[in-house]
Amino acid sequence: MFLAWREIKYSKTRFALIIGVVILIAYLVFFLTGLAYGLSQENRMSIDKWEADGIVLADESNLNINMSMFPKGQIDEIEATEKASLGVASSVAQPAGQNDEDSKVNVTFFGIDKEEFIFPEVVEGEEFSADREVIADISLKEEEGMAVGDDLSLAGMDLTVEIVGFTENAKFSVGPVLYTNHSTYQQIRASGFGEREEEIISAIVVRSDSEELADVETNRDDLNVYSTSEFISNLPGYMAQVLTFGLMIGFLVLIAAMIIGIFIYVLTLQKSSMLGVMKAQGISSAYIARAVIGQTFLLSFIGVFTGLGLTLLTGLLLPAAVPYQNNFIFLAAITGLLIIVAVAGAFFSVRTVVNIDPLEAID
Amino acid sequence: MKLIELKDVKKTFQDGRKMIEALKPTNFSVEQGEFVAVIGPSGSGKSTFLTIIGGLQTPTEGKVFIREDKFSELDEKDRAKKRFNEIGFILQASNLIPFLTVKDQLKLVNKIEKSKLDEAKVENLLSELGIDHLMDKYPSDLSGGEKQRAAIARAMYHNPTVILADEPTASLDTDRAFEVVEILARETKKEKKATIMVTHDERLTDYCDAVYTMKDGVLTKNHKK
Repeated sequence: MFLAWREIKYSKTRFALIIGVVILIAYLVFFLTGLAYGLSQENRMSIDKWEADGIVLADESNLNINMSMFPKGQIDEIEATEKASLGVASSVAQPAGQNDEDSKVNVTFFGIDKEEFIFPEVVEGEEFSADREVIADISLKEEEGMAVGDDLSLAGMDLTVEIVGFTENAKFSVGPVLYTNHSTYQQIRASGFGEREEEIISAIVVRSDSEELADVETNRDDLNVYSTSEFISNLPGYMAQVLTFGLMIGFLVLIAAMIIGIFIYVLTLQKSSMLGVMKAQGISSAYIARAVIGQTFLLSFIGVFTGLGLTLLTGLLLPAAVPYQNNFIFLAAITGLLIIVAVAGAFFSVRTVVNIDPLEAID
Repeated sequence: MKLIELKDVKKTFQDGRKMIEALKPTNFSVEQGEFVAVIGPSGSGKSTFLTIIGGLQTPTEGKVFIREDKFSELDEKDRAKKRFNEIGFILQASNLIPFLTVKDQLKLVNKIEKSKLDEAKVENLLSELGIDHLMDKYPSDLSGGEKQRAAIARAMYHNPTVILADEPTASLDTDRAFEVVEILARETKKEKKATIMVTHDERLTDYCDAVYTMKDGVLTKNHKK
């Protein structure tokens, strides 16, 4: 570290530039990670909120909850530790009395029973107690400026609902969720499928005490139980999005390794005559190689942590509409990964160090 | 005691289809406290001679002894270790590490050995060489003569058995060159080292105990004037 640190102190500009590049790459990687995580959370947050183990869907729905539909009465045939009926319907909501395009919001209605476990915790206002009352995701307040008591009109139907409370972390398919009771849900759903005699729902969310949902039994051929993770990875567009971001982040980490590796390699080549002299003086290749590796570690350490700091700072300053979210496990993993691959990149140069012939220092 | 001894040392190179004898079979030794100069034109084999003594390459035939230990028969790693411990190199100009201050050049030795910097020794050595006021300067701030003194300090600091100087005065004017050689001669006597200086400048040999001439790989001892 002695040589590594002295050299950084001596050639400040040169190393500041290298650190600058590392900072930018780290910043980009961290920021993309935050965005990827935030986006994926907005797809699945309301599902994670259930803390459920599995979900029962109509067999022919192909794991698409929007296409799943069966009578609510069938819940009695399902065997599980805990179960909750859920109706899902997407809609477009708009503050009542307004009709400009900008005020329209894509929402998802969750029709639920008050007594069942997927009922959300209300952080502001109160729980719904009558028809046409909804508990909305807090983003409607933070991003759209709505408040408890506001009426929303729904596109394509003669129906308004009133926000009576807000809950947190209730997003589904990157849009806010409105929780309502089953009878209101039936009305909203009916506008798409026509009036029905019996109540219909989209899914039954279950909790199970045994592994892999072994104790959950649907008792029907036309209903299937899926694990929550399987359900999430089959959300429309979810996997495509996660894989796209994952690929980008992976490549960026590799590029970071290559850039640092190349920088260090060029620096090592530049210094090769000096390193030759050092070897002539009997300083071992191992000592010089350690200095090179140590220097890379210092550079990437400073760069990555500065990038991390900048990312966290940016996260604080971003408007709520940007789906950025920190996940400290991911951030820690990427920090470690970036430093490890950077140091691995420096191992290119170790070969160069070993191959330097001290004889050339003399001739 | 003979600190450096070469017995029937010979070095040949393959150059295309020709074999070149860079160093003809040579017997040579330097006693403790002896300052020896080797002069000769470039390409005469004097660098080969010096690098074989320094263990940077091995002789094709014959043996090199440092402090009566077989040096040329050690493997590369052990030779590097012995070089670090026993041999002080002073090279033309690029001897110093550009990003270390004069003091840090010496401190590097401690860092490698994982020992403590000997402040008193550093002070003594640098003031003896007249560069104690330059302790915190980088090589780029030093003049040619000061650089070579720093290089001598670097070579002496580790208390080597042998000092090998390869054209230590190449980049200096006459006055500075004489100063540097005088310092080398003085330190050799005082610290009881064995010093070999390779140079092409015959005027510098006044301070030397013995002068050899290298020509076409043949080393011959000059008669003292």
